[in-house]
Amino acid sequence: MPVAAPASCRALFWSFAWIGLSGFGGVLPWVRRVLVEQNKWMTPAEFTELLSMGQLIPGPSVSNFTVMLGRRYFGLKGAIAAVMGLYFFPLFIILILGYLYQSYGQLAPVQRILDGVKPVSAGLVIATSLKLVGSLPRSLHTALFVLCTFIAITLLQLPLALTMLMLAPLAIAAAWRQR
Amino acid sequence: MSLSEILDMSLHMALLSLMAVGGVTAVLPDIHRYVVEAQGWMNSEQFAALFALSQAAPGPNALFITLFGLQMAGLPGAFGATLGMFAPSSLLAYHAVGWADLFAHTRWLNAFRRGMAPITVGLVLSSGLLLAQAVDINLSSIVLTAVTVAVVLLRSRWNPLWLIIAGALFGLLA
Repeated sequence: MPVAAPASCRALFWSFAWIGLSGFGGVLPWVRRVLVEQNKWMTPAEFTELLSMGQLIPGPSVSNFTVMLGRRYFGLKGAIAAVMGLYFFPLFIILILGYLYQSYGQLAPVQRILDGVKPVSAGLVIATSLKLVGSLPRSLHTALFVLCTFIAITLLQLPLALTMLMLAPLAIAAAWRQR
Repeated sequence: MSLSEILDMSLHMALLSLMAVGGVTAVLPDIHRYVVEAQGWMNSEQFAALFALSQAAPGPNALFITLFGLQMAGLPGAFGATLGMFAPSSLLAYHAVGWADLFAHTRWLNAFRRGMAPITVGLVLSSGLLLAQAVDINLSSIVLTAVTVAVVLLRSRWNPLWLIIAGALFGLLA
């Protein structure tokens, strides 16, 4: 499959603007669709590789991916164009929603709508975690670390930093030995 | 909130963002602890409502942080929280490109990736339950959450927007 670089920073900006505006509840499927399938800027293998790097770097993975992709093509200008594309319009929309919530959030019908959407959004996050479970290797180690993390955060209410400090070295060491 | 408080909040978000490996949904419990329990900038119900609102809007998931910031301290809060969440990791990502090819296939990075994966799953699960607990727990909210989970797992190609709309209609009409 032939792969072509984007023509300009402007093309990069608009492609990411399209991605940002298309994705509800996560933009990742759209990143793949637009970059790999429509524009053919990268092969599926390159996509997977860059994405897994984005996930290794802390912070929002899609945003890390976008920075790296933009830089690959046009350096700093490319990174800025891609990130601006991804965030500009969604940021605008979310601020408007936020202001509407502040002005009308206390009205009874709005409260009822939100009371219907809140459990759905909780369900979406729970479903995400269950889907991720499916991608993990089936081993005792894995199950143990999922469980320990859950116990530490939800049941013991420990801070994230402490939980990471305790569990991350053990989990990485276990993965290192398991190879 | 004063300017120095906003700066403080922004730095706090930056620290949390740097601990978020595998996506920022994982740090929701710690954001909740900070903005609701420690600082009292909003209550649990507002926290859940704002997160739900962010899911109903297009764009990257992590923009819930912008709504939290707006609620806490208006526009300066929105930009402070957003920059805190995105700027440090973006800088890291920008500079990671240079050495990435060198390290892409080493054993150490593989161990890191495989080791952190179950921790991320545990964190995201905790985030989901935190959001479920922040709702008035009754039969309909439990059913809505359960149905959402089932639909996503069984029909993974459906756009989640439809579920959000269904939840909104259910809330309005039920």
